[in-house]
Amino acid sequence: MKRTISVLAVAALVLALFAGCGKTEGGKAASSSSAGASPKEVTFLCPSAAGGAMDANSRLIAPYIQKHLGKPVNVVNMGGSAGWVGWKHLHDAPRDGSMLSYANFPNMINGYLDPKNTVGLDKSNFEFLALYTSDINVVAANAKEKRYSNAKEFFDYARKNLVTVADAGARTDDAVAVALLEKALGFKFKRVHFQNSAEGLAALYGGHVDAWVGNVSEVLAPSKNGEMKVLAVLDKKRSEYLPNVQTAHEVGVEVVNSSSRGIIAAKGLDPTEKEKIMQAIKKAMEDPEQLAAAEKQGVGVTPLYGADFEAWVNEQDKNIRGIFDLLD
Amino acid sequence: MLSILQQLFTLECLLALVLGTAGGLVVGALPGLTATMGMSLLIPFSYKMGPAPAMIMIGAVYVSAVYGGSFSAILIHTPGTPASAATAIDGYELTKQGKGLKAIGVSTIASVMGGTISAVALLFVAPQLVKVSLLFSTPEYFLIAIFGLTIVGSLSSDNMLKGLISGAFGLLLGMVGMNVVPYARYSFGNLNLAGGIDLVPAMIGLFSIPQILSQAEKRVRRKKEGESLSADRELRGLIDNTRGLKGSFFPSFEEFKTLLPTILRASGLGIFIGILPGAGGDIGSWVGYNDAKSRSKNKELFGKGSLEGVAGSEAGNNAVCGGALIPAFTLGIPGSAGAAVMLGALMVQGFSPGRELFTKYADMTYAILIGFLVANILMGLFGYLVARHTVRLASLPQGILLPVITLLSVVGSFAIRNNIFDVYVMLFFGIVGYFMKKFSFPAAPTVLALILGPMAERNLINSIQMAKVNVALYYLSRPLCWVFLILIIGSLVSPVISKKRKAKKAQKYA
Repeated sequence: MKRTISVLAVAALVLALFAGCGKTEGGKAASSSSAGASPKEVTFLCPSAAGGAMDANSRLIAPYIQKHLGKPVNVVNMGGSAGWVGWKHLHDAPRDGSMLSYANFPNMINGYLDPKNTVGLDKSNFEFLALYTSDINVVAANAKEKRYSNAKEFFDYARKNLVTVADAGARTDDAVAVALLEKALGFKFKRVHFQNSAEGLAALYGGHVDAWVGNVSEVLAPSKNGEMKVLAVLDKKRSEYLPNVQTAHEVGVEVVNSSSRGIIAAKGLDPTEKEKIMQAIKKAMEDPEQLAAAEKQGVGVTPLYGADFEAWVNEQDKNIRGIFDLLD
Repeated sequence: MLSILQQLFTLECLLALVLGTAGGLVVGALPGLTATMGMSLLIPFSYKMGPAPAMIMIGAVYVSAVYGGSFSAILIHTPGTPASAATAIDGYELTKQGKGLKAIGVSTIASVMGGTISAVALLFVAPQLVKVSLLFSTPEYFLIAIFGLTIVGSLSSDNMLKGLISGAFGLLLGMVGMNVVPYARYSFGNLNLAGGIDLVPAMIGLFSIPQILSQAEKRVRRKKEGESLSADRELRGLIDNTRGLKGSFFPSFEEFKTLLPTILRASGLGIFIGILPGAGGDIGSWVGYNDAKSRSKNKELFGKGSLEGVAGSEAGNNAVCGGALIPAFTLGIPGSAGAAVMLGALMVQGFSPGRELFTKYADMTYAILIGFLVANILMGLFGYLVARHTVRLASLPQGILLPVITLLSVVGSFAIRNNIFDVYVMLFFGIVGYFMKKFSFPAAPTVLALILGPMAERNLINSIQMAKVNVALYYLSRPLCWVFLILIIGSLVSPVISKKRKAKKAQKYA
């Protein structure tokens, strides 16, 4: 009896070891590849924990990069410190094309602009390969709201009255959108920084806040169900998903902001590897199979490659520097 | 409804249900392994599964470990989990009288009924609570979190001061990082600390390492005094005695009729205790036991082998499970340490507790809740089949068991984010937890405060941001705030009053 139990226990131990190895494989691949030769595998860092939009996006696009690159692309989650644990890891890894990372904006820019951020890295330390998706910001109100029902009425009301506006956190794209609005309008809202969109939405539905700032993808279902009304889209042109909603631009408030995500590498990525990876990413982004999968998940693919992506990042950087002092 | 069943009746979910229930029984029956330990060790290994099977598996381990703890409590007088301590009193007496199998039968019926009733309560109360939760906003959440903190310390241990200190420790750790404020607080320039202390490695450390260390320590101590052999022999003897277990498993109908009111009352009490933050299965079982005792017609049997005692304790501790999940799923406030682990698992999967669980992700949530309900029934079936054999696991060589658990703790903490820092966090909490255990500071208040502290702070800040007038007036202008303010004052004042009352009583008898 005792023998059998011992054997079983040892078997469990060996199994546990294997389980551990399976999970760390991706991390190991990065450091073990020698310089010069093309790495056998690519680690695709997702700088946030499993679950959530960052993780879902990473796992959506990575298999198609693998398909077009012709070698394994493993998604490894490395959350912490609003992404900087992962990006520091990317920065410290070999630049032989064995490691890429997903990145979210404006979060990344807010991070390095923050004087309290101790990482000591900024956009000059990274190469911006491709923007994958952009989710435009919107302003919404409770469905039963009587004081305003479009962008103009809302801005006029807020000019004369103190208005509480919910966002998904002090340094999120939503908070940046609020600050940009304040700067353009020349007056202040009463900002309420929730921890995520869901908490802010609950406060909006319950009538505890006057307005809410979020993203197009978040309001499609509730606005269709009549749970809320969308007041303004923060873009130069109307959203194809919300054709009846005014843009802020239309009423003279020139604000453009979004939550965007793309693929980055450490600065100084081996040029021949970079070329190969760029080709694979381009093909992956245009792959009809990938586009169909993205549509199913409600991800609007809005690609920008290389120099275009970098110019976009610089533009974002400039906008945010203009309002950084306004952020809480 | 169909889409819920579609989510539930997948191979993955059914497998998770069966494995979780069977595994939970083993974890529960093994003395030294607790429900929260099994659950928290499972999180890293389950997060690659879909959310529904992962949550069902962890929930199944929760309920069946709490039930499985009664086997070793009854048969070898060693509670498999702390929640079965009350069961051991009368359960083992019954075993000595040759009625061990019937005691297990009663424990099975009571656990299944208590668990099922609480799961039904969860299934029906939670959605209603979510419906009215739109009336709640940040001021109410702040007050609920404070209310939770006021009872965390006082309910979770015999020594209120130690409970409070343990809770304060959790509050302090909850302040680390930028969870609440947009800059890194108390991170000492460490990038990993800037993100705050991750709940899952903290829980793995607190719930498993102290258990391992104190078990290992027991071994060393015994060896020193040359007692190891005799202690082992004693245990073997107790286990051997269970081989000849005879008699009926199920109580007679007459017996069942007398037990039924006890079970129902203990279930109700268990659910209520579950909903209160901080009071877990251990409290539930004692309350169920004491209630059974005070209402029994055969009080003299208590302590000498009362089936009612077993029923009250076991219905109580299993009813806590479902009750504790009600505030966890709807408000994000765990009612017990086990519910805190469930909440941690849910967040690892990328979901936040609250309204969206019951609207946007309703199919998944109901699949989890129904899976939880089924696990409560399934565990009874498994228990009927294997209960008498599981105690033999208690003689499993600790020299093999303990290293395996240590290994799982390390690998599991690492696997969640592939970050070695999380392993250090786990070890830190493990070592601190060991000393806490040694000086009998309860671990549950630390975990609950680690959740409730940031929640209170965040909502206080948000409510200040939402107040267009004076903050105090804003709170007082909301009727629901009054309710929670009164509850807070009540829970702060009641220990003082009961202390005075006891003192008066003592005076009378003196």
